[in-house]
Amino acid sequence: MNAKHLPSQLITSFKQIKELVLTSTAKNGPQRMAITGAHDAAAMAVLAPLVKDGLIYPTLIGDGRRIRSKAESAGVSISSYPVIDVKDEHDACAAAAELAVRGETDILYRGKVPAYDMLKVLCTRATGFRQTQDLLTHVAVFEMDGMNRLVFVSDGGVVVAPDLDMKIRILNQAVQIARQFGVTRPKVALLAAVETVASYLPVAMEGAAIAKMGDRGQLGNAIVDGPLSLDVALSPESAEVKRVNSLVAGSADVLIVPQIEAGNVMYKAVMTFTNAKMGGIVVGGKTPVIIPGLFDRSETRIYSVLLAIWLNHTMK
Amino acid sequence: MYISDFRPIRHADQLMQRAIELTQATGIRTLSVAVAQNEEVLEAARDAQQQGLARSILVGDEQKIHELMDSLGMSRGDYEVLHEPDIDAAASKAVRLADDGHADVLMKGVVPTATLLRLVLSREFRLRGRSILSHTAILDVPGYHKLLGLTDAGMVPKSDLRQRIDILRNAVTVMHALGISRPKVAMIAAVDHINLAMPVSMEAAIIAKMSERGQIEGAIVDGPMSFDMATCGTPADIEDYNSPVAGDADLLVVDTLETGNILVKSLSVLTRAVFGGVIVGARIPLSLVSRSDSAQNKMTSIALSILVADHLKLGAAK
Repeated sequence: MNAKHLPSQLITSFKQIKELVLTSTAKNGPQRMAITGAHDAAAMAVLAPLVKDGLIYPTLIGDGRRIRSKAESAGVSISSYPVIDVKDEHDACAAAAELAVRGETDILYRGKVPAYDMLKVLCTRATGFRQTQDLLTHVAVFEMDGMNRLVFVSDGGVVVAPDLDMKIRILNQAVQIARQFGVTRPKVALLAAVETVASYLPVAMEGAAIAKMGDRGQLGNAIVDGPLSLDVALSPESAEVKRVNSLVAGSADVLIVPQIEAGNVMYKAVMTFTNAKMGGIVVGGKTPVIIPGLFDRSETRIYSVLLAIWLNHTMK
Repeated sequence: MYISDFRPIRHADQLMQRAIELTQATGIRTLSVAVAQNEEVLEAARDAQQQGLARSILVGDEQKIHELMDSLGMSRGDYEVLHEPDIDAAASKAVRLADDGHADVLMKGVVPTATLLRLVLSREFRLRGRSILSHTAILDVPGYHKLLGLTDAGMVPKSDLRQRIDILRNAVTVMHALGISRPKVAMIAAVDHINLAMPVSMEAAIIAKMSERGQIEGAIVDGPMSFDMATCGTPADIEDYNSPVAGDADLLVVDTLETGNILVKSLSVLTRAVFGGVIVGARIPLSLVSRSDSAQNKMTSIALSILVADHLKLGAAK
């Protein structure tokens, strides 16, 4: 997929994303979103404002009777939307994937089906949701207090233990996403526990190798550096105290974490103990996928859908 | 096993207070500083002394140490300096002081960490313990109802199952030193259920089961568990997630140095958590303070090391 309509301005907040999405929806019409396991109070709570704003045209997949009752208690009128009545969770995931493969939906959203089952269906090549060369990766987008930019973190949600090659693909996809939010030349930090390269720390060595690929122009239009620790990547003060000489230190746009656990604890720590705003999306397949975490607030889930809409609008 | 009988410490300032009370009651503690000719190290030694936590024996190049002390406005007469210009020899001397009982805590100066650890583990001294050395961090996170321990965010790059159990036991000792007699421990994963494709989740389940069988003393261990499950508890719409730890964890165990480090940094940089750390697994604790630590974090580390030293000593005496 090529991004042909990159935004002319730098996007720095979810408020701005919402405004842009409302404007572009007025021109392009609502996006079609298939919800698997739509008999889900949390999904209905997310759907209500999105439908009200005319942003989303949903297809509801799951237990038809329970979908109607959940919709009713959430005050969402679904009579004009298609309902695909499948009770089995796996069948619901397969039905959603099929819609995406046939081009009949623009976004997939996980309701009450296990995240793992849904990802398994989407990752299986035979499904056709992901192309041979594609890797599904999770990108979390943060708007944090005191930062003048969005920060993109990958992969804390899908790829379990990426090897070097997978890390490069994770990086490329995250950089592409950052560009779609107006960051023309993203600064990328390969996170580790240290800034110095040490032979007993494979993560630091991989960081160094990928950073050098960036220097040699092998990673496109991005400034890549690593290994860097999180504080040095984000905070100019830490970068100065540790005297790290790096174009990325203190001003990273994109953070690449070494393993799923690292990204996962980071986003959960930030969302549990700060006022940050966040949205998360899975990219690399036919459509963006939203797989909300158990603890994600409604706000986070809505931001995730806004991200997906914006990605689609800027990719057309 | 010795369990401290004072009330559990719930905040960083209580930790500081407790260490100061201890030194007031039973005498100031001593840090043996391995290769002390460094500004940040000397500042930490000065602050610890001024706050009544610990005096320091500064082992290293006397001339360099004195010059730095002059520039920092530290009075030469207030500090004991043991002259040894050679870095390896100075480190060895500092370890010897600790081994001979002249110091309670071994503190790393500008000697490479690997050199110091090799000495601590060397048969030449009697500091080596039965398990591996590992790092335990203690965080005071604004918004969490008590202290949060985390291991290993500073030492072991990637622990295997056996090492992770050692690391866990070392950290449980640290929690005991803080008066948390039966810490609730969460084995952290990216998921809350066992996923056969994720080894971290399976290792967590194994250790949790060992805990149920009484194979991990002095703690309640559960996992796999995500960070938010460990610290926030079970969401209302999740059925059948029975965990005595969810929402009330005292200690988090992660599988790699990077995950631990990223978590500490997330909490310290983005939530302004106060934290301290200590290396345990030897007969006395090791204190490593990093250049980027704030003065408060450095003192928290030293206070933590003093409490751990005391706890280990009482444990050995029993």
